[in-house]
Amino acid sequence: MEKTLLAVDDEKSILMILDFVFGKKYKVVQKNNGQEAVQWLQQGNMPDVIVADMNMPEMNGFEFILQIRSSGLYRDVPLIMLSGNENTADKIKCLNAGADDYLIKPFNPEELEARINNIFRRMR
Amino acid sequence: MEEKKYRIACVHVNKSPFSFDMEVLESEFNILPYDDLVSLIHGLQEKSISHINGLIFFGSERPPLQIIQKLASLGIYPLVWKTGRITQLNREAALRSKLSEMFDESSTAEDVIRRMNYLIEHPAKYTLDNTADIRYQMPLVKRLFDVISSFCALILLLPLFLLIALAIRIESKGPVFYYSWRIGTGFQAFKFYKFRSMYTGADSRLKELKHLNQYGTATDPNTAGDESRSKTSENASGLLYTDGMALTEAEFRQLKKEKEGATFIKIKDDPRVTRVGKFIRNTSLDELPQLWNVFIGDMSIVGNRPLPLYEAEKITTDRFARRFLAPAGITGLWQVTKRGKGEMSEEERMQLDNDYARDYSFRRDIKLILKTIPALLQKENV
Repeated sequence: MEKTLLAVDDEKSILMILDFVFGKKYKVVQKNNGQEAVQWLQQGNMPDVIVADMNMPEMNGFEFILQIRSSGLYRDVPLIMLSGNENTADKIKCLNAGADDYLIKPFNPEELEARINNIFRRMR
Repeated sequence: MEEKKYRIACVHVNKSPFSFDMEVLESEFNILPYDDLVSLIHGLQEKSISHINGLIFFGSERPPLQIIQKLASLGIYPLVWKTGRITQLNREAALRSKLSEMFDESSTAEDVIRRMNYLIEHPAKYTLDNTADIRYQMPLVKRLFDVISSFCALILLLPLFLLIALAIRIESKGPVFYYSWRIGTGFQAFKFYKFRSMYTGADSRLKELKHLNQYGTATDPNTAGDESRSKTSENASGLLYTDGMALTEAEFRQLKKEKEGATFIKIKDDPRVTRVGKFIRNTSLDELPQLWNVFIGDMSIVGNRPLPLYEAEKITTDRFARRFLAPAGITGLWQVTKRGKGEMSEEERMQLDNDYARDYSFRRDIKLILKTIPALLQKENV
């Protein structure tokens, strides 16, 4: 069965890149902020992996991590943060809150793919 | 102190308790413990329980789909399941049945508070079409048949109704009809009408017998279920003493179970029953007012027997809850099968209900009606 990737970013270009890179292997669901993403999840959708931005309106990436990791339904879904914010303190904060990985923009999509694959490999 | 915001119903809270102290939750929410989902639903429908924001169901088995759907239709959101340990399997079950969230032993109070607050403040726009398959829509032919036949029957039986009414009034004071709350299709509660066959006001003297009364009296519908249950356990322990036997706990439980099972059976020679009552019961004439229930659409002529609250509550698995998918009815598969064959176990009875729910048709209905007539004529002291 085709895997689903939930891409959350308020920047349309990033969503386009993610769709372009992962579109062949995944069904890419695009959401513009944490709020929209959580709403989509609450409708009973279960993605295989989530890639989320940090700075977003409505619900930022950190709040998003907290909601996902508090949820018994979604706490085991791999979650990778993608952010322009290089501050290590923020990075550590996200990892502590339960993000599986943290990539800094600009990013190389191949690296993201490799990291996702590694998470899946460990999950098996 | 900050004002407590949301009202959260916690059902069967001791079946799978949180590993953290519930007090933390209580400081954030208004926690309302319940032991009985069906009574909760009924209370909400009758507005005797004011609106609750969310519900957490505790237990290793999730509640039946019909109950989840009923709660959702009453505007209860979020519906949350607290289980011992979240596995891939029960997580999928929760998603399929549209539960909004689930927690387990490793969930912290912080998790629960964060998620509950978020879910209450940001309810998902529910798309009900996904659950449409578990909704029941009565076929037009069946409804048409019900309306016409019940109307004709009511007209034809009017003289008989008047006669029975007169007889009831002459023998004992009180109303001619009485109702008890029953759970029909899709866990919908409705007033189930009968001719009164018992003395009114004899309740205090005969309270101890109440748990044996299958139909219940027209007491407060919200407490009727609990009452009968607590009475059962009291009586079970009383019975132990009168028997003068030493029983192990397992035996006691077995006995209690049998005793509880006995709530399904009508007792013989109940002293509360009037003489007219006995007659109309034996001839099943006391059931005739249900034609009115049929006419107004609460139930159908043929269908699964609508259950009292406390019995409906016992049906906690999807497998048996399937019976609530079929129309409720005056006569059905088990009534026809039961009579003449003596006792039938609860399990068998529920199986028959499910059989009917799985496969019913107009032709089958007619067959059942025809089979009911001889069953009705049987003069068995039940």
